[in-house]
Amino acid sequence: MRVDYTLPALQPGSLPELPAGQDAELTFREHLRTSPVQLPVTFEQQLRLDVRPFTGTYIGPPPRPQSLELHDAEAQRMRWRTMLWRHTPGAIQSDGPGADTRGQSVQSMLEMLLDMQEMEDAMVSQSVAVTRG
Amino acid sequence: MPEKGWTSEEIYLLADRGYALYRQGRYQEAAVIFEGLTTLDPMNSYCRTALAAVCLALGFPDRAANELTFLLNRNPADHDARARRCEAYCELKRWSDAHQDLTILQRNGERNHSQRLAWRMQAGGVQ
Repeated sequence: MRVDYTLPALQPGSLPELPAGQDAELTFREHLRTSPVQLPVTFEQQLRLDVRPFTGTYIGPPPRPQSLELHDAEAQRMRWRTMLWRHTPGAIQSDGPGADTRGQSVQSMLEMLLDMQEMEDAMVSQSVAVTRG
Repeated sequence: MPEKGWTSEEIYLLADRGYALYRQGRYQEAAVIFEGLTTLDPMNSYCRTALAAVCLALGFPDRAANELTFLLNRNPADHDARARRCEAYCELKRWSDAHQDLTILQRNGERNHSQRLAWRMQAGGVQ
């Protein structure tokens, strides 16, 4: 039995004719530059990193309002502090049934965020003190 | 619409902080924020979905199912919420409710969710 090990696509005789004219004068390096290889998919797509790992416990980032610009970190910090200070005293003013329970959850949220902010401030001031010596 | 005195930008800042905590695996703190946000902006579907997701992560599927039912009562075509609720029902071993949600997902051509959830139900011994 005779086995033919030559792949049809790689047969030496089946190479296409090189085009004559300007293209024929291009060097190998120029050929590489002029014809960038178009990958069918990016590596994120290939590895399915772009696919949402959906389970019930997964969430994505919140949708940002168009009116909000978040390029300036300093302004962002200021906005955050202003919001906390503005809402801390009364937390929520609601009337009607369940107002206490509703107010309680907002109050808890604000208290927790204030505690976090105090911790953050303490760490920053400590690191500044250490840096200054 | 957010509660009186709160702007949508402020709701976003809080939701973003909740999301950051969620990404850090601090589900308890994230739940506190999202619970507060659902009070301030009850119709905000992102905050309620996030609260349901965090409740599932914390092992409170019954609370998650309640939040998702609220969303589905408003918008029955929210397949994302339905798939999550189906998962919550699976956690609670409420197989008939889970099967009902799965059937609706399959009927609407939601292949990704329905395939995964069908396997989940099979793993639970439900055909």
